[in-house]
Amino acid sequence: MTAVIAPPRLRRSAVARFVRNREALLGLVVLVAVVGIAVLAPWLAPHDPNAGDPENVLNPVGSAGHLLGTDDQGRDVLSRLLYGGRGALVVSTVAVAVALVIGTLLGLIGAFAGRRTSGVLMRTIDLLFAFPVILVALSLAAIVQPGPGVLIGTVVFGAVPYVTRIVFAEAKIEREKDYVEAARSLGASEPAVLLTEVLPNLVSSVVIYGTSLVGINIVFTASLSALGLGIQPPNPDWGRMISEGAKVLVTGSPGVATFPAIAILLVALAFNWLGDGLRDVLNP
Amino acid sequence: MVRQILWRLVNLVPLLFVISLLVFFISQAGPADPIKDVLSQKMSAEQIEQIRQAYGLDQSAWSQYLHWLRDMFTGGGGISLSVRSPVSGIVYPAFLNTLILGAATVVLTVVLGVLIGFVSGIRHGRPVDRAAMLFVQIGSNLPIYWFGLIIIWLTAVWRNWLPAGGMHDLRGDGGFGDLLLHLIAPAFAASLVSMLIVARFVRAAVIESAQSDYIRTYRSQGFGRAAILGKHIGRNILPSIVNTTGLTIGSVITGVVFVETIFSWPGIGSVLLNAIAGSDYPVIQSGILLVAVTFVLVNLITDVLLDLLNPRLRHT
Repeated sequence: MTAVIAPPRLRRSAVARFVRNREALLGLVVLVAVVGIAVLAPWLAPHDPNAGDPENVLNPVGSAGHLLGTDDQGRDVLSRLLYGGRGALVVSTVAVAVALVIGTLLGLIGAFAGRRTSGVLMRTIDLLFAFPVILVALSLAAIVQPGPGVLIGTVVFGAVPYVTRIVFAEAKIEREKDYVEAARSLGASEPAVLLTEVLPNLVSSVVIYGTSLVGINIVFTASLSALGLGIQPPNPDWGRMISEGAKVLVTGSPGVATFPAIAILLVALAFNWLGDGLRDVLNP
Repeated sequence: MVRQILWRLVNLVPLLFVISLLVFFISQAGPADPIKDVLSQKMSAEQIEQIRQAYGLDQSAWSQYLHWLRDMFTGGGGISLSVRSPVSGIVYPAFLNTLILGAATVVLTVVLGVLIGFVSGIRHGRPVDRAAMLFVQIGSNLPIYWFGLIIIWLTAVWRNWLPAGGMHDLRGDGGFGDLLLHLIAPAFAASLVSMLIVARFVRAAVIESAQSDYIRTYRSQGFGRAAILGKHIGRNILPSIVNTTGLTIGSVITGVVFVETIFSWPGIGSVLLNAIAGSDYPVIQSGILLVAVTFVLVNLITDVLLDLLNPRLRHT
């Protein structure tokens, strides 16, 4: 009897563990809210985020009609803040998803290929491991024009070595397990063993790691956009808002740069919390 | 030992070759024609062709690569397209400034990272540790651009402690003390990410080390806290400190490039960003190659240091 009841109870307890994990729940709530705001920005924003108003330049926080004030061109900071997460969220998520796919494939190949291939592959990954990704961003910006493409390319390049290493380490452990041997002895081909037997056992680790990677890269791509390599003006973007607000931060309007900075910090923390929570729930 | 180091040097050759090819590839893959982009408007096709020949752009990609490599080795790096002066005169001084800022950043990364990690490690679970971990969590998710601005505001605007940017005081003597004063704020901002990585590693290493059997044995024999910490835990985690610092070099370089713009530090990051805005490929290539080679050499130094610290290799 108990054996029959056990699986559903385990599954329920995974959800229960997640709900009881306050950080994870907080992370999820924040992210749902942030994504909701980004999607609904056209309806939520009180002003056009790109409409300047020379009459109302650098209004302070809490002024009439401009809850968070205006920037040096008279654009409404709150409206720009609501729109400003769109590019960052899309770029980081897409880039990390691409990096997860490439890294997983490379890691699986590294773990299951012959000694020679595996050695060359993992040596290369080691060399790329601590590579200064800013050089990749600058090179890409020189080849294609600065824009979202530069951000995606840089994040993919920076993240693939990490994902590959994690998948490689886990896949090597899985390789020695009995179920792999069993599948082989039943006549499964090597690709079939990899994709239908080993891969499902790695998915949770990859997803957990990917969640924290998105958070890290939202911070990183914001800095690239602030430097002018990423999302281009006049599009409202949190990173870009920081460098645009830099001029007025020291002259009595700190909000223009600080609100987007807080937004970035909050979203990045939320991804971290969610990632940690998922790890506790899925890989206890 | 010596053989080990020589072997590492030999291993660098193919790596440097690949890096140089990739960097050279930037101008080949870029917008169709660098010359046309920069100075074509009112020139005849003949004049453009002359300029192309002068820059060697009419030759095959392979011979252009060899020329370019020779230029890099002899210290020239070609002629800048936007300023029309030798690239070396633009890139090398800026690179030297970046090296100064980078060295200061590494020093702060190690000193502050080890300090934070050590203190929170031996105070594991106490308020100091929890405060440090909160700082680590928030610090590693802060946009560095904003962090730099806040440091300027704190140290130069709110309180008149440090200069707001630049490398030397225009009215000062340009001496070492002046340079040091200008270094503190940008180096601290640039070291944030790498410092916290080191702090996390050191903390974990200290906690693990403090729980190990040999430390318990020392303690039971009546050795003092300071002796155990300094002599045994310290020595045991030294290689992992070197290793972790080596792994953060990429973050240090990235941090320095971010910070240079904020603090108007006249370094290679600012030069590269200007060159990209002006499609100045010779400058872009020389700058990126120089930084990439520096990265490889620093990695080599880390590896050699680790070899030196490894007692199993000491007598071979």
